[in-house]
Amino acid sequence: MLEGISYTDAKKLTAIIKDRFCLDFSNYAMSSFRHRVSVAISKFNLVSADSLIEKILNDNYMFDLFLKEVSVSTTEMFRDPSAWKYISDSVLPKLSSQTEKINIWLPECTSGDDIYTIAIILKELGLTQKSSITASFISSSLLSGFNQGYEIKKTELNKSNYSRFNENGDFTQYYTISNYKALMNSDLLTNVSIEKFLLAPMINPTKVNLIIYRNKLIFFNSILQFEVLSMLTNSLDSGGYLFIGSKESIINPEMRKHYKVVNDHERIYKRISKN
Amino acid sequence: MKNKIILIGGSAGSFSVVTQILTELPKNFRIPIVLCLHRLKHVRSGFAEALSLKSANPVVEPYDKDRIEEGKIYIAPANYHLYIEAHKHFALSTEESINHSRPSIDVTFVSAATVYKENVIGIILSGANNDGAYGIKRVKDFGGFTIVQNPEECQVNTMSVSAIRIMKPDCIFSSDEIIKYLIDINNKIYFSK
Repeated sequence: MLEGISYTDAKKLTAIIKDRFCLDFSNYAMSSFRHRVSVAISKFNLVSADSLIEKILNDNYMFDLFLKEVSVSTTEMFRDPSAWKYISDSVLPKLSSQTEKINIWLPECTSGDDIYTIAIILKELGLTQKSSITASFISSSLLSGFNQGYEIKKTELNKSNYSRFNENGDFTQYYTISNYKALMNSDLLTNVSIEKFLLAPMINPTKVNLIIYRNKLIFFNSILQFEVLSMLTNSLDSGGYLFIGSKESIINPEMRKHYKVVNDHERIYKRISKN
Repeated sequence: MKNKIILIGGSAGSFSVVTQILTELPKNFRIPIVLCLHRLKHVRSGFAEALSLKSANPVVEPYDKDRIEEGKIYIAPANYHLYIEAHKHFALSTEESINHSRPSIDVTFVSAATVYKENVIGIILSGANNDGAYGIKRVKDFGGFTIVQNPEECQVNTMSVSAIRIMKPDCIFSSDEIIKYLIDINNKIYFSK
């Protein structure tokens, strides 16, 4: 399973999905994509890429589940606490002084982790009312699952990340335990609108002040990274921030020229004035 | 011949061996080395820096899509899997842990084996779980050269014993023998007339 499906099968699968669902996976990073597909095949109790193709072509629900499986959702709240601390200490206060409403966008959410993280930070800064968060999901199953509670083990991890972010804070105030799961307080989401985007072309938010897009670019090849970054750049307001994963980069020089690095270690970039 | 790659996997008890290897490899060591070591997931900085102090060549944590270059030593970043993609660049991933590990040695070894095939030199060191055993088996299946640190020398031998249980490594070496082998092959490839 670790090997993933073959390149030939991956090619066949992506061509069929593109043709049928107008979703293009052909420029995904192939090692992880091939691995994800083989994980999906085994989870669906199937035997081959062909049987997977047959299944998703005939059953929209299976296709949605497939999207869930190939989207990597194994992140955690406050992953890289020092990066979030920089967002909290430097980026948000600056935006708050510059704009009436802080527009925050989380494209391609695969879990609630980053949504709750930014919501907690805004609450602690007293900026919930002053901000608006748009979270976009690509799959219905991911969307309906994101607020269904966290396993205790995962909650412990979230809690320990949080304590590195704010050693004096109390993470337990943000959830209640029920049926061995930590349910995050729904009032954290008062300024959050959840959307489902599936089919291209997407209608993206504009005049965004902060885009949180962590550990997504790693799953694309450089062609798709460029396309996605162009789209995100168009959505960002002048002076808006792009916050990506700690091992991701804006590689393409065409894209790079739109940005100034504000924190290299934490991969936080600022959109320089348009034109 | 100048497209070899060295993969080193280890966990508990491997740090001192890795340090010894890096300390003794000369400045003219050209074959790229990829270290996949189990490490604390929340400690992002310090590890590569600490190893760099011991090494004649730079030790770096690759960014996503970085090209693999001669003369460099790469270490898998904390809390990411490190794949090696076609065209010999790195790809990072936050997929679920494998063998309770992220980075997982199996992920790095298997992906490198499919790309570099017989040009992989795979090494498994001391460690406390069985991550890496399947990976080094696949290195061998693809024609690569495989070395397992002698279990009697390992501080924790679960990893090396697991590897030997499912495959027959080309060599079972002490750390001194590993170092000698690496220096010899580097000289043979880059400096023999």
